[in-house]
Amino acid sequence: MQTNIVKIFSIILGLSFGFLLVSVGATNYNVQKGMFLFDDFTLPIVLSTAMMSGMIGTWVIRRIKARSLIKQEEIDYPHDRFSKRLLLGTVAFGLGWALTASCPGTAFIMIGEGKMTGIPVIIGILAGTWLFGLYNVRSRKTS
Amino acid sequence: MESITLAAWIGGSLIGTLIVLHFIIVGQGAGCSLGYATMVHKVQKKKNLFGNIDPYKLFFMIGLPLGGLAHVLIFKQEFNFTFDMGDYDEFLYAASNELKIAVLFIGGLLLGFGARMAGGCTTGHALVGGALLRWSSILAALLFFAIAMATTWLLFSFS
Repeated sequence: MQTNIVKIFSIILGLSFGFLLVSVGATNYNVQKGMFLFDDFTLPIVLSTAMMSGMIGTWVIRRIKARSLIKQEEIDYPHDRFSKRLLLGTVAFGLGWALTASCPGTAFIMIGEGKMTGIPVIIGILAGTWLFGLYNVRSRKTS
Repeated sequence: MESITLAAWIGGSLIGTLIVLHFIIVGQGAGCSLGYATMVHKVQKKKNLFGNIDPYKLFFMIGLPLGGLAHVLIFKQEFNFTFDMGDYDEFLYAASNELKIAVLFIGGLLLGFGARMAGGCTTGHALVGGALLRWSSILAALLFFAIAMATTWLLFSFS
């Protein structure tokens, strides 16, 4: 029951996230290009203000040791994880970001906007994720 | 132009707030790329290809296009299917639709592989990891950006 409530809330959170990203122009190709070529500062402002408010908010909820609202569990904060994989991953991701002017989140949002250019990107992401899975299993076996 | 900047400030703050709300409501960080891994896992159940899978991320993902659709219905009041990419159509993608699809697919492949390899995408590293001041995430976000910036600059200098 609680699990289902969390699922419904996840949909609502995803919907709000999608709505906000469209509002700030994150799914607009020219705004993406403007960010990379430094002639449109919309997205850099969005990213930095989001990080700021996120920083303040997470500082407060960690400070008061907030528990999750629905399941009343301890909140799971991601830890630092540095590896050679991280560095290699960023290169691939950066190239993909430049070629598609979208990221895994915005490509999916674009479908809802009717931007069909998101479809080949999504199929690519699924294929790339699956390829990583195969690589992951193989490297686990050999090590 | 000024209204766009204002929207960026307000929108950015709200996105950060949403990241915090996601922690409080779901009990874990928001993320987009893990949803794709969960999707792949659902189709190919035989082997556990990924270390961690998160069913909630799948539901977060279902919400994303609904948010895009809601925005179109509220502000544009008309829904069209489009296949153009703004300024990007002027160079590489101008040749043919087949080439455009191929480049977008390869770009997606790199995004998917890279996100899992790096342990997160723009949302997970820049927004969530950045808010928590995880230095490996901040490094990842900066590298994502630097490489995308250099590549975009190269692409457009040839057009």
